[in-house]
Amino acid sequence: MFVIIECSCVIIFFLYIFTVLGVMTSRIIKRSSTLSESLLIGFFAYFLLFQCVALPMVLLKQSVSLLCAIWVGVLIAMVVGSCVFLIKSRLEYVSYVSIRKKKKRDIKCYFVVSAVVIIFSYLVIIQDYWEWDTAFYIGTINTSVKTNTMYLINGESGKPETLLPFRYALSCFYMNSAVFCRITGIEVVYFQKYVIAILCVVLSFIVVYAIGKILFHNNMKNVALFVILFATINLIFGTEYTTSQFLILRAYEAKAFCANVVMPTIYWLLMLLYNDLDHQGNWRLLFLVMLASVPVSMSSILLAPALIGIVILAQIIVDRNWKYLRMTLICMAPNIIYLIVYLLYTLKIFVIKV
Amino acid sequence: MKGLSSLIEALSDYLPQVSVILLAVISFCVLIVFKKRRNKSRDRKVIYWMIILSVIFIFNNISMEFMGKLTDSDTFYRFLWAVPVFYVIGYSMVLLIEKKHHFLSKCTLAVMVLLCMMAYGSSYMQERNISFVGNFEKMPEEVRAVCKVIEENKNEENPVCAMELDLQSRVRANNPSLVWAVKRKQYLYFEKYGYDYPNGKYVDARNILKVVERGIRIDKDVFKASLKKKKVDFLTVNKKLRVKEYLNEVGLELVGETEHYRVYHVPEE
Repeated sequence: MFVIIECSCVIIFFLYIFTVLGVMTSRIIKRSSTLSESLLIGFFAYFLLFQCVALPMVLLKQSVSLLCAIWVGVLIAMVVGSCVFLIKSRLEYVSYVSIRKKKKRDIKCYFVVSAVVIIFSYLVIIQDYWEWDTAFYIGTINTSVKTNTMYLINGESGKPETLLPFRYALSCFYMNSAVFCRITGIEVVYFQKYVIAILCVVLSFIVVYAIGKILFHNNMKNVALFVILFATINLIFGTEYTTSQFLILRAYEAKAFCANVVMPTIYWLLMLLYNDLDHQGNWRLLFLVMLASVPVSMSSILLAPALIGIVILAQIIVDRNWKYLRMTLICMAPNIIYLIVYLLYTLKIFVIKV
Repeated sequence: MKGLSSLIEALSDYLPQVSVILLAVISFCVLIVFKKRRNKSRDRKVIYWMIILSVIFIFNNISMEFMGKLTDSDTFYRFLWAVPVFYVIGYSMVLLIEKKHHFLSKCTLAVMVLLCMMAYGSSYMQERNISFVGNFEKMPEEVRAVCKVIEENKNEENPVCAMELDLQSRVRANNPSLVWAVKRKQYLYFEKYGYDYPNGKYVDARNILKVVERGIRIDKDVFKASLKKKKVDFLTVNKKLRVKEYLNEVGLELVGETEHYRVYHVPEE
């Protein structure tokens, strides 16, 4: 019972931090965002920030305890900063949750969408999937927590690594879990299978909701129906090559976030840009998402730039408007840099011995 | 009747994939027919160019080889995640529901619902996937029990352990100080080729797995040599394999038992 309460508190804490970070980030990039969009933006901002702190420590072979100490300081600063920010802005952002301005029918649709998310989250956490990758990722986090090292010991077999494995070490997603497990004392299995899995489901449905609002021009009834159908189709089709396997069975893995949060967020932004390629706020947000895509999941290293490259290049070719090529390349740049570093590692030109 | 049941089995294996593809094709047609757009010509050109660029840069042999060198050619399917299949299906179904008074939209919706029902057999909401509150910990009691026996009897900080796959895949989630004797790629190699494949690869891992997974009584000296080469400290064997006497003759020391497993310590020579 205590574990359920602990996990619930951590989930609420993450949602709060993501929302506040998202509101502040929206202000910085000068883009007006709704509450749900802020939560999504904050998720990317959080992992980008974590990557900035954790990646140098991983590459320098520092301990998890040192990373915890630094990150706790950052989290305290975030919480204090967010309280000051909210008070100074005279709680104007609380109006996001004001229901007085919303239509009755829209309020019913919000409840329907929330109910879908809660039911789907339950269906995800009762899954008992355990395969090689599960053993690897949970083993990696558990090893980091217990041995106080980051990627110096193979998470799956327990044998010491000879080289720092860039395939996993360049993305600090799992080290975030290690940090929180060390701070809170929650067992890694619970943290991944409950906290991280539920966060994946919530964020993925926020993107579905955001996409629905564009497709149906804010007709909340159709948006709610779209969310219900999306959830149902994911539950029905148990096929290996779709994103549903990762959302339902493996929502605790970084790949699940790539398939169900990062890529759909990029679709959402591309849809916004399709209607208005001059919207600077959306370009800045796309850059932020691309910057944070590899910190969330290494699977984004090729997928994300391929998607935006193809979609925007197609529009540029049709419209014969080449000025957007520069912005596209800037957005793709972070992933290209990570790709170059990773290529140098695979060619054994840039390696870090353990 | 046997032919019919094997046909049904084959259909249930392939039907979900076929249903998704059919649903995606129908959804795309629905969008073309039912969706009103301001600038159809531009949209069509953009879609054509997206398909051309996808083939040039992604869905071709050169890109697949490059991906294979970078990570693993088995991960190439992740490029399919860039195709928003479920969003398109959901969108088209909502459009059809909006226009449900049209005869064509009613028929199309009925076909789509039928395809969904045909795919249900593959759904993840099957009993085999689900564990209810009784297994909140996601960690079988046997795994904890085996880890406890090893922890109580170990002399080294990181004992090397050999056990069957089901157990091995979970032990390090419970106790990360344990080290696998047999690696993942060795397990997968034998899963693919079997234990009797005439090849000199992973000889020691093969000998250990023959005993631990299948209960095959190989030559005792050969088995002892493999345990020594792999530096195995603990061997865990399922009781149903009935190799207790064999392992006693090999010289292994029984240090503990759980409901389904026996844990042996491999003595140092």
